[in-house]
Amino acid sequence: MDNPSTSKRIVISPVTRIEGHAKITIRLSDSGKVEDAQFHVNEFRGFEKFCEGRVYTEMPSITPRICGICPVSHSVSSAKACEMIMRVEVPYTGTLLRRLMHLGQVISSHALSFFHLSSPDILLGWDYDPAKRNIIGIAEKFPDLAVRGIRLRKFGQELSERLTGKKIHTMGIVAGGASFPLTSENRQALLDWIPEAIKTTQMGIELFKKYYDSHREEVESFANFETLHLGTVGPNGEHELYDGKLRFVDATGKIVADQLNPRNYLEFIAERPVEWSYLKYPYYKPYGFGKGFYRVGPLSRLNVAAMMKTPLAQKEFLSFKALAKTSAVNGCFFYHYARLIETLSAVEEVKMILDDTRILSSEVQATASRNQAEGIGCSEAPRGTLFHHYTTSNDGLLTKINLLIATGQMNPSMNRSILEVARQYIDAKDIKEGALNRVEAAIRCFDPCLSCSTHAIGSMPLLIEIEDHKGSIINTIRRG
Amino acid sequence: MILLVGYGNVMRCDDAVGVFVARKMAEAFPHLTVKTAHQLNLELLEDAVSFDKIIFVDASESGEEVALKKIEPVGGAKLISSHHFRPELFSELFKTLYGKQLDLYLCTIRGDSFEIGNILSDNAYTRCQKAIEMLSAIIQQDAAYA
Repeated sequence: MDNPSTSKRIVISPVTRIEGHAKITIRLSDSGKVEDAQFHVNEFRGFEKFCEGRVYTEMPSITPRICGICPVSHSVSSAKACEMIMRVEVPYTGTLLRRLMHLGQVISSHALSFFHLSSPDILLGWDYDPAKRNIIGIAEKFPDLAVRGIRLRKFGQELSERLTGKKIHTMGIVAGGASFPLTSENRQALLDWIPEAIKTTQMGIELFKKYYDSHREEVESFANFETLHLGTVGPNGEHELYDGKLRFVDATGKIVADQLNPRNYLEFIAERPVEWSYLKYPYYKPYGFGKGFYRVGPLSRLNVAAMMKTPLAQKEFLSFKALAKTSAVNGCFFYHYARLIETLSAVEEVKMILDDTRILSSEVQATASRNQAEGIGCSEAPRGTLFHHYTTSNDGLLTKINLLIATGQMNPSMNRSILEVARQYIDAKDIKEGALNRVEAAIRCFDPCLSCSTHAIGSMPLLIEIEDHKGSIINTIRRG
Repeated sequence: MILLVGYGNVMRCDDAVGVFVARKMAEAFPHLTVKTAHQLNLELLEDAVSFDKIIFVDASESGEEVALKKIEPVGGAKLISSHHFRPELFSELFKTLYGKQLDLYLCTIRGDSFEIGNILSDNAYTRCQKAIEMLSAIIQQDAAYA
């Protein structure tokens, strides 16, 4: 516990090239060392209250409006919660179509994160002119890569468009299945994209590896700390995004809990509020607050998985696993690598699904009415495990809603990351812009979506304030 | 050939004016290419390549009730996050990536209420009608559509 009267603070607000708005405070002691760091989310999410009193079957079309980046995951988790209330089984083709849309969203979200939000740090450098250290800089210096990234994202969006007629805020996923069958023409159009999507993803992987080879020490030490990891796996421990059971592993890769039913999430996940943020601190209940902090998202999903489901991704997965001295990779910079491996896997799985002739069946939706009060749905959103939990009245109106969002589950680890990176790079006597960018980049590794976790609007220029021990601002750095 | 894109959050009351107008324009002009989105997004750059003129329709918090302005590429525009992708950056990126300048316009419609909800305010609804009249005149003058 530091003494506030002898501390200085650095404030970064907003954190840029992430989805949403937040600020970072770094507290320095009077000797100039980083003592603490906090990631503040100051916006309030009202969806749980706003939706009370609505008919539960509306939720798969309402909740995608929480965010334009991962609407399908909200729709999938929501539909699953409704199907538990209805006790209905989704037809085989309906599941395939939903998987396609979900994979498409993972592809487009991951493409945006890597090619447009994070690649400027890798390709242009941490200390590059902040005015150009963004997508404009990438477009100017690497136009082919920028266009490829845009087209990869478009491919992901195309999966929703071809299946639903809409790109964002998909209405094609409904309680009981999917709204529309796939046509032969659309199936072929999607298959035609596959070679390009694989090539672009592989280019991204090569780009990451090249950077890793030349910055090995920095990449390995960047926000490298121990936590548990949570992700969904199939029955044989295979990597899974759409449906499965949950697995926790520890920082050495040892399985802590396996084949947990997501419907029982309240038995093993608890949350505690902190005073500086509207995002709570979730933790693995049996280990308690602190020891039970866990990460979710691409890095954690690869850490919990025993294998990938597709050949090219499996090959990269083996390289990923070889990075760790034990069997878990804990360095946050490897989130980018894991994200790209997942993208590759998703593109390959899209092809596998499209190659299944049953994808063209018109039996895409089952119907039923309310058969029980409560429903819980879970899927792996691009940023991590997403839970929707609904309770309904006898007439099917929602009386209680709980949304456990991936970004919220990463909150303790995001705080830990900025602390680690700040300790490594911040020199109180000479605070360089590139050092502050590294602190922001620690957050970008997680690709948090604060719009999802808070339903945020608005933006601000980047502001760094340094306060002396009396609370007076002694230096202000502004960009944006 | 004109591409009209209406964007906004349809769960944020008047933020939905762009989507509302886009849908009305699609009904009135069946051969017009119309897209709707929650927010401006990067992949629209790829779509824009095939069109001579692009019109974005979005909500504004202040300024004129209904306005139409030409968007020029602006150097130094930034992508803080994809949730804050501005037309000026769209234009700048298009010019950088595809080597030509877009004929891009932004129609803004002032909203009064941006709270959570799915109903337009009376004032925003009236302004949407004005915007539809103005945009309809532009579409009717377009040689390709005529």
